[in-house]
Amino acid sequence: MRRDLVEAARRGDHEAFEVLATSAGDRLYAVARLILRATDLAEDAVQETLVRAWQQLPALRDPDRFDAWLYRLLVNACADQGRQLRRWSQQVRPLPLEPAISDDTGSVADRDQLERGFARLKPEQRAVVVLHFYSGFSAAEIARILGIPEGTARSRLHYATEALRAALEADARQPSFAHNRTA
Amino acid sequence: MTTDQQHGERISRWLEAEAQTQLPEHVLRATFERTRRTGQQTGWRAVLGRLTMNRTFFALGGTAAAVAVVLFALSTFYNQPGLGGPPIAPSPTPAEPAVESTLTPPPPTNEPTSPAVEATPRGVPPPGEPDLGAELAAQQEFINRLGDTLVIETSVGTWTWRRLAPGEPVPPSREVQVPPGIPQTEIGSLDDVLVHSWLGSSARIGDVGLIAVPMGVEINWSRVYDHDQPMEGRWLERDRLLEIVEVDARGDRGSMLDVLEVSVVPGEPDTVEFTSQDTGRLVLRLGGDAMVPAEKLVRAGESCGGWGACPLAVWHLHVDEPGGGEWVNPPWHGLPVDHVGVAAAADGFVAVAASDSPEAPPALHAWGSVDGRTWEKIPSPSPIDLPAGSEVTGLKITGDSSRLLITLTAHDPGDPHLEPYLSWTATQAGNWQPVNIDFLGAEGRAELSEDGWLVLTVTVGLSYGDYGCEVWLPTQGADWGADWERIPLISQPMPPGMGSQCHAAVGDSVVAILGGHSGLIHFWIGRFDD
Repeated sequence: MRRDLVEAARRGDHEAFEVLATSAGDRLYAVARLILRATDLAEDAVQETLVRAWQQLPALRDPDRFDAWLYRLLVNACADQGRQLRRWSQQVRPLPLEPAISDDTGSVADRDQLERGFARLKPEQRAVVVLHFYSGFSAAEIARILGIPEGTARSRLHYATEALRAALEADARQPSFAHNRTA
Repeated sequence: MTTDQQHGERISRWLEAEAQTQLPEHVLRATFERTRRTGQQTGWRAVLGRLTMNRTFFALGGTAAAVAVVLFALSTFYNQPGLGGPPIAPSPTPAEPAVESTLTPPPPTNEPTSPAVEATPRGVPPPGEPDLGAELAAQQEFINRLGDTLVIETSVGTWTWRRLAPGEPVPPSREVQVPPGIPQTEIGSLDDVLVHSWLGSSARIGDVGLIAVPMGVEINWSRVYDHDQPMEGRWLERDRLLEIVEVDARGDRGSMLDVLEVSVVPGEPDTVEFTSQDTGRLVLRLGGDAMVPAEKLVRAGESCGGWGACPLAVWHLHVDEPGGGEWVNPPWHGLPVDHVGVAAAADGFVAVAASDSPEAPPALHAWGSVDGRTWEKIPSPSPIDLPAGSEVTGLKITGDSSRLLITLTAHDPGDPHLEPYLSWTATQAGNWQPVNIDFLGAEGRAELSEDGWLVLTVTVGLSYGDYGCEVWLPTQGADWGADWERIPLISQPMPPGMGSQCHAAVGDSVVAILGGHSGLIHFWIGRFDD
């Protein structure tokens, strides 16, 4: 069924494409929002991804690769959007003073440090973190999605994971800045 | 210390907690509005997407992109006000705003008739010609046969360039719909033009040059490569067509990257020839007094591949002499260094970044000249020694304002992921100030307009080895360059791998950016509101 939709969309069927886009929209947005850490940029990235997907769909060789291909477009769009800001690391978002959910992720300071550590990651590292720890893709799958060698995917994932660990461990050694940040 | 599994689970929980999983409806609505009025890649582009690119293809594309960059730079150079180009009036060109905007076709005008332009159904190639894509109406006549009207219809919109008849007043600029602020006008559809042309024939490549004018954009130059035929091109001017007499495109398209010898054709003082020092071939011939540059042309070290004993060639033209003067390579006084990296020149001022040895860090040397023939070294201001380990990647001097911008890359050994990009400005080699910009990137180019409007164009490293272009705007006025702001109009990732380049061309308040990579060339046009 899904393959049929992709085939139809590839032939220029707008309705088929809109069905595909609607079904993919939420998960694309979730990933984009996590990578970009900014709602407006994530919305733009998703829109750009879907428009590019529509335009480039005839060039998709294997309809069964549609989802992975969408992720690749999305990550590229995120990188594009991310450069709207001067530096990724300059994106600062106020942390809620009270946890909005049960505190499974640890302390507010922990989450703050995770976010700080995450913000310091390069875009490609963020992408592999989100695709792996949120979307559940393996390093091999991420490599196929992004069109990079598996070793590169593993390397990025390893570096990013260690960077986040370092951020948390640094937090354990010094007072948190969680409540002193500037929005 | 947590285990890897615990650490991973913590990250997963944090991401789950942070995730927002519902895409706002307005995003989908806006998306579908765009896709409903946007075509899909068809024909050759679709085929291109399914092809496995080989190295030859990429090499060809990279070379073509590089050539286009140089040609674009040349065309821009010769058409800038104050550089000997024709006075530029507001263009009738409808610049295409962001995708959300509505394109407005130009109003009906009394267009001069042109035998080169015939009414041909759009999307139908001429008999015997390959189908270069149904969306590119201009290809019906091929872009080397540009007449008075050029229409480019793409999946994004339609642009019409119309040449004014001699004496015809320039239409008001209402056709130029530019949002307030610093707008972005993305001419991404020209990518389509290029891609179409790429694949229209295995041997034919075409591209279109743009020139930024104060109120818009007009196509200024066009060409078609063909392996089997001499390349032809025409300048599309507002009140005349200037033909490029001959450009030999056989084989070595990269010759435009050579040091170019420039000479005035004997007996034709208004015609200038560019000859490749590398191949000895005539690369370009320009005719018409308005096309003769009044500036020095500097090519230095560009093909040397980094620091080394690169020759420095400074050519300049004295336009105040009878017959327009001649291009000469002046005797060079006081150049104590062989290891020239980057050089730049403006009226009476030449700067060279050089080092005493290949291993030594570069220093900046500057020479001044009154007559353009003899040069005296200017004492180095402080700080003039560039940081150890740095590499000068760009140098630009403006003429009237005598501002100097140096771009260099300094690798921070403490952070392998951060490559600060440092620059200095100076006025007549004095008053040096660091520019407070840093980039994630390793190379860049400095491009300044004569009035100091612009700008630093850098090739920035993006994810997955991609590259893109950024443009920065300095503060204006007495504190010029004291602060810099990134202009959020140009951001386009380039596919990885092959020689991405960025080039900024500056009109009074217009910037045109060309970024090239292995198979595509991107144009962006933006205008600053005063």
